[in-house]
Amino acid sequence: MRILFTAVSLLISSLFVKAQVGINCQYFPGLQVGFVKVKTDNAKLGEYKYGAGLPILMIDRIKDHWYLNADLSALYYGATQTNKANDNQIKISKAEGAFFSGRVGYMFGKGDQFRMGPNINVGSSTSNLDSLKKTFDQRAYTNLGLGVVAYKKFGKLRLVGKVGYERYSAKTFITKAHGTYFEGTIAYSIYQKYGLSIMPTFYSKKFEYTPKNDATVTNAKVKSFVIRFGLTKFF
Amino acid sequence: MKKTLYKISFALTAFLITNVNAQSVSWKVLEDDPYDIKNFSLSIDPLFSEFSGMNGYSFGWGARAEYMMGKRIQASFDIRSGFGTKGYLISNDNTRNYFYTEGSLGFVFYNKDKKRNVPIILSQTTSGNTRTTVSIKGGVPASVRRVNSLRGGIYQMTNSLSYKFLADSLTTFKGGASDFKLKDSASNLHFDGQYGGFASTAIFGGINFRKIVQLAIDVDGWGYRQNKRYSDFYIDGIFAPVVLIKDFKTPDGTKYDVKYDKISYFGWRMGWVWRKPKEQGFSAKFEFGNRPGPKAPVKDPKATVPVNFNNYYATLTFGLYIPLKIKPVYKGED
Repeated sequence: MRILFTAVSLLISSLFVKAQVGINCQYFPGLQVGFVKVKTDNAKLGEYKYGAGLPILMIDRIKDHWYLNADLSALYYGATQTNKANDNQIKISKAEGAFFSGRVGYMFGKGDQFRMGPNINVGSSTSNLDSLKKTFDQRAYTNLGLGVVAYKKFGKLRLVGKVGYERYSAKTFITKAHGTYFEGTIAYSIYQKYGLSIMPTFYSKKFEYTPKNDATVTNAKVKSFVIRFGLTKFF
Repeated sequence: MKKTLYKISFALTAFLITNVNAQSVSWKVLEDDPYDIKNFSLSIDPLFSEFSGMNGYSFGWGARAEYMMGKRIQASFDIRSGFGTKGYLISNDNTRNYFYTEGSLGFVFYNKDKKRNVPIILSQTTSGNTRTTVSIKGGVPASVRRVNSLRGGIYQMTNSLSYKFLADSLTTFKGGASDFKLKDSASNLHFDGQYGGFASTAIFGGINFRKIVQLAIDVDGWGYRQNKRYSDFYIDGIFAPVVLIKDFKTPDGTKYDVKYDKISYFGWRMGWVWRKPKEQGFSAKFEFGNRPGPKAPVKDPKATVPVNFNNYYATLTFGLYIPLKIKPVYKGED
C-alpha cells in the first residue's frame, strides 16, 4: 500500500516539477590555489606577489533561468587567520576579493542544454593595496558591475563562462578604479546528483588611490589568477 | 474615545502580527512519506561559534556525519577545530587551541509514524513592523515519524582556559624549586595569569528525539507548498574521568604541574539539529550545557564549592550537508 502511495505521489509531483537546468557550485567552504600580484608606482610599496588565500566561501548557482552568486571569500579568509593574526604570524594578508558581494542574472534559452544572459554585480570587496599584514586592517571598497554568463551542458559535464566589468569606489581612499574579470566553471557529476567543479578565474583591477600610511596618490594594478575547487550539486 | 481607539488599534496590530488563517482551501497531497528519506548525511561546516565561560569565545570549522542504520541503530560524529580561539597564542605552548571531537551510537526504541496536523504557510508578508502570515487553518494531516533512541558516546576536547575565575587557594603550580599559588605565579614564573590550556575526555549518555515530516501539497489557488523537516532534540548527562589543566612551562624549560583542587566531573547538555529529509542544503546544530571542569571558587574554603558558571557554553554550527541513501534503510512497517 505504501509503495503504491509513493508511486502515485511521485507521479503527481512529477507533473508539477519543471525541467531542471543548471548547477549549484557550493564552495561552502571551497579551496583555491593561485597568485595575486600588486604592482604600484609608489616607491614605498613597490611590487609584491603572494599566493592566494586557500579557503573560500562562495555560492555560484545557475538554476532554470536565474544566475545567483554570493561571495564572502575575503571575509572568510580573514576569519580563518584570526589565531595567526593575534600572534602576529602573518607575513602578508592574502584577503583579495569579496567581503560580501553578490551577482544576479537572468539567462535566456530553451531546453536544458544552453543558457546565456546578463548579470549585475554589487558588493563590498577588498584588495591588499597597502601590503598589510592583518586581514581586517584592509580597507573595503564598493564594487558595481555588469557581466555576461553562459551555460552549456555536455552529458555529465557542465561548462559555465563569465565575463564582466566592474567599477570600484571608496570616498576615503579611491579616486578612480575599475576592473575586468573572466571566470570559467567545469563541473562533473560523480555520484547521484553531486560532483566537483573547478573554476579558473582571472581578475585585472586598476586603482588610483591614497595609501594608508602615505599621502601620495598612487596607481596600482592588481592581477589575480586562481583556480577554485568545490562541491557541486547538479539540477 | 482615545482609549477606545488605542484598544482597537492594539487589537488590530496584535491580530495582524499573529497568524491570519485562510478558510476553505482544498489541496492535493503530492508527497507524504517520512520513510522515503536519505538516512546518511555528511555536513561540512565552514563556521562554528562557541561562547563559553572557559575562555569567552572560539570559532572555526567543523564536520558532522549522521547515519540511521536500519530500524534500530543510529550513529553520529562531530569534529570542530578553532581558527579563532580567544586566549590561544600559537607561539605560547602553555595555551591550547579549541578542538572538539565526539562519536556516539544510539539504540532506537521507538520508530513509528502517526497522523498529525502540521502547519502549512500559504503566504507571509512584512510591512513595517507587521508580519502577516496566511496559513491553512488547523494545519494539514501528515504522517509524522518519530524516532526516539537511547544514545551514548565519547568526546574529547581541548581549549584555552581563562585563569581569571579560578580560586587562588585551589590552584597550585607544582614543580621546579618551589610550589606556587596562582597569584604568586605572575612574579615567580612570569606567568601573565590570563590563559592556560584545558583538556577533557568524557563519556555521555542520554535520549535523542527525532522528528521527520515530509509533506508536499498542491493548494488550489496557491500552488506548491511543503512542510519538510528532519530534526533532532537531545539531552545528555556527561561524566568526564579526565579533566586536565595544561602544565605550565617557563622559558627556561622548567615544567610546572598545574593542579586545581576542586573539579566537577559531571555535566549536562541539550541540543537541536536541523536538516531536510531528502534534499541537499544547509544544516544547523545548536547546543548548550554545562561541561565538567574546575568548580567555582568560594570565599569560605569550608563551604561546598558550587557549580562553576564558567563551565557553561553554547555552540552554534552551520554548514552544507550532503544526504545519501546508504543501506540498511528502514522503510516502515507494511
